[in-house]
Amino acid sequence: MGWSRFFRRRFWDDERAREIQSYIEIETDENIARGMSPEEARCAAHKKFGNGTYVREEIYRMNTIRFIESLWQDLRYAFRSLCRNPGFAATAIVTLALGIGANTAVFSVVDAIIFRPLPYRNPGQLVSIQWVARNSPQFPYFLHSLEEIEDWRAQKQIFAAVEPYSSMHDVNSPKGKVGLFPTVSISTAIPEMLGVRPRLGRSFLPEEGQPGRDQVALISDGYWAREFGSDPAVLGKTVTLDNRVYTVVGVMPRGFEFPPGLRPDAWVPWTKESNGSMFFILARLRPGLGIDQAQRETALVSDRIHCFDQELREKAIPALSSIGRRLDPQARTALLAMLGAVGFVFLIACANVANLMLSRGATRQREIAIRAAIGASQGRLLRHFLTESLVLSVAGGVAALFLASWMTHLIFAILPMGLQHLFMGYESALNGRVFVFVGIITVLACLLSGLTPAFRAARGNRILGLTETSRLTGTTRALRRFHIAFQSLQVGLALVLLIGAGLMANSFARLILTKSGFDTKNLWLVEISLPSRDKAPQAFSFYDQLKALVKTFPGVQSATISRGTPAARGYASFRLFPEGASDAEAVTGLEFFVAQDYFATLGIPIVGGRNFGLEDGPSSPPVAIIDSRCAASFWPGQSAIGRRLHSGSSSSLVTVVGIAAPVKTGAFAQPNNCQLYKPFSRAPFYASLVIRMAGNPAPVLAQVRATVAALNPKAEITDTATFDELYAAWDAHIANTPRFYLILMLIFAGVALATAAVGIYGVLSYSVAQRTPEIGVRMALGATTRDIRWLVVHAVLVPVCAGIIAGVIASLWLTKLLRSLLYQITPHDPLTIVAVVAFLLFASLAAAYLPSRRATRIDPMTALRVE
Amino acid sequence: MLQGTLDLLVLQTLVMGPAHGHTIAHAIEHRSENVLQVEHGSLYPALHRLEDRRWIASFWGTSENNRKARYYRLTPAGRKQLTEQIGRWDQLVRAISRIIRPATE
Repeated sequence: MGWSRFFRRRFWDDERAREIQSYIEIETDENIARGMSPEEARCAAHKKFGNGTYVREEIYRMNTIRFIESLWQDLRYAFRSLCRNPGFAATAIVTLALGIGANTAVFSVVDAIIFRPLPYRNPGQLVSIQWVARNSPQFPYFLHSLEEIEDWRAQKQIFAAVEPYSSMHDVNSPKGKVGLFPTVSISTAIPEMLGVRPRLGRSFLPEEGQPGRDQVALISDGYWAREFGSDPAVLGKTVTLDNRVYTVVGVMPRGFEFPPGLRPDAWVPWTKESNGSMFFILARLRPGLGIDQAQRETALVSDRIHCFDQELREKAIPALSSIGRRLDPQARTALLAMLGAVGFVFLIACANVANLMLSRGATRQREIAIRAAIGASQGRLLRHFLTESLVLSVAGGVAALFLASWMTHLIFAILPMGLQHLFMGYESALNGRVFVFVGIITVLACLLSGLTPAFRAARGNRILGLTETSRLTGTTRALRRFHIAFQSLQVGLALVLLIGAGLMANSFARLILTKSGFDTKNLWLVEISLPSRDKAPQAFSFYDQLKALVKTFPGVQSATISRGTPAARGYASFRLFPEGASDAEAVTGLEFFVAQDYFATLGIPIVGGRNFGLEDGPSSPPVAIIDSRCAASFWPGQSAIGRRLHSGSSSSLVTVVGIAAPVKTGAFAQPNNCQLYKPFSRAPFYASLVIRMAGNPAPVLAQVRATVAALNPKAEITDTATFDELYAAWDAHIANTPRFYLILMLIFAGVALATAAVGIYGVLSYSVAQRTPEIGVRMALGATTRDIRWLVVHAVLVPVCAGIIAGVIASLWLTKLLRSLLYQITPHDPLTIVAVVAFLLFASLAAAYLPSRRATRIDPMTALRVE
Repeated sequence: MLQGTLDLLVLQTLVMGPAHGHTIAHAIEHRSENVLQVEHGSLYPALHRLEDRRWIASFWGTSENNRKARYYRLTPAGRKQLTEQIGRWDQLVRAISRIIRPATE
């Protein structure tokens, strides 16, 4: 039995029919020769042969492949029966297309950003080496010594290659581009180590790691397209970075990223001279060595490695970590939570279609009963109904592909800058993985939405289906139970999404509405960059002199110096926890190094303890001022003064000497995010000048410029802005990420709510239509309008309440995933939950209103006359 | 009729030379002295199966009384198959007779 027979079965049927005909003719001829009349002869021939049709059927069956044949039959039948009911088919297809399409769009974003492997050779072998505190390994120091690189390279039993790079190359970034790193300096051997070759031009030469030869750059594909119009003649042209001119020697391949998760515009050679001790070390493990084993071997040799600070020798150990991930865990969780959220939308859509099909199955009882009566087995019926839902979900899946490519562009447009950067170039490519995803989810949609209705239909009551009075029984109890289950599921899922969206809306409003916490009016920030060769004492005296001079200018009310200011760059974030607590209680802290007059100049009140003073010099015991909210969360109901803290940037404990009022800082900080101030004298390396002015700023700024130039000709003012401007730019940028997630969640929750409401409405309308005779009887027996309305609304309350209870419980657990996206509220904010539940209840009752009104308008006489 | 024996009979009939369905049916009936009476129609699925396995081949020809008829002939593979099946049949018959008539041995 071959496939050729299957496709030629019609030909063979004709052949055999002719052959049978030929037998009859020959036999008839012989019968006539034996003396029969032609009529008799033909009759006898047929009798001799037997049932010709049966023989042909048997041969046809031998030629066919049963499964395909019946599938084809089912498909044709499904098409016909769906075409007879286009309203149902369209509703189901649109619902599924929305669900599948939204999932596909979100998946293609998550796939490009999270699942897509890093574009390096054997990325699993790549690790970063960092020094961490021995007793709290989650705190890396981010510091290395230059000798260390050679020490690691000598450990050939562990590492195949060890190369430094520096992620943050200080560049003059224009306003509003906060937070991106346009260039990264990498050791000249890194492209080779990653196994990446430029698509155009050449990689770095080893000697380009030497000062004097290092003014060459590799540019990204995106930058090449943006700035040079993808002109192949770009090689040899120059780009200016950090006021230095670099010659372009190569263009990196499309989608190249380094460090993982960042796609800078350009890479320049890393040199020992330009990077001090702030750099990272990338290493490739010797082939065959696992990261755990490598870590053990590293511990054995760590004594032979130079540490960046010999005093920390005892406290610090080197640690290896895989570089396999693009996003930090928080951003990763947030993005994956969106995939989960859109999955809920999908489940709601499936539940809706399942309910539609259940109702449809109930109205088709007669058809089913007849099919069963003429010999369709249960399995055959089941297959038939599953085929119908397969037709629906495949149609939905195909529509979803078109929908998804449109939605993907929409998502791309609102992605926060960092993620948009990573997604660029993947927004219109539906790749193989995305297609596989669509295939799987389509089959899933078919099973989720079709299995229960198919089982119900295939096992329905045959006798009932054939009786004339089936209308009177209305929906059966079992059917109603299924409806309730699916409705509860919908309501529960929609509620979880609504609570998520509610929390994010609440938090976003807080983020936008929160006041800065100090007087931003007439407050100017002047960012100054000093040549990095200037050592600490020199820099300290420079800033001190500058501040003293600026204070004397006319029009200046006060001035101060700080490393890090709210709303601007320059503060470091790290994890912070009180002495005696475990580091599991650590929160994100923001660190500012400020002069004594900082609080007075910005107008931040000191609400407890003391300000910094002359006693807090570079060699005095480390002290800090923290904000009052943080103090209250660490030591509730107690005074924080005199307490000690672990703070990430220094290895020793710092003592709290003062409490400041909180100011508005990061959007991703948790509600109890901490602002930690340290005396400026402890980090006078790179700082900004903050000036409060009265009147026209222009002459003051001109004077400041002149003074800076006079004090140090190499110093340079990189930026001047008012704090109002800074906050506006910062809000626009920082709010991007929560705004993105908020918009997504609002869309998902909106679709979920609409779908669930349509589901409630649809099932209720159907049941009112089915129960028309019953309602007619009740009315005839004296039921009031209120009774009837209650009868209908009652049917909604059960699934809605069950759904709400399940939804609240699930959300208490699930919204934790959103924690990193919430600003100043907890994931269990009771007010939000109560408000959302009330809203959902209202929406469900609104969906029930129309059917219940229709029920009360039933005319008992008409309803009863139908029977 | 025993399962599979119809195939054997058809193949055996075709040893004499090509024949069409009508001839084969009558030949089987006559040669079994009317013991094996089958509906002639049931022969055709068997012919179809044998042709599908390429043990017989077919062509359209003209019958003795000038009717168009489909003729079948044995292929080399069919001849081999026939030898095998006859061997197996003999074995089976011997085995069965030994069981039902042990005394005659």
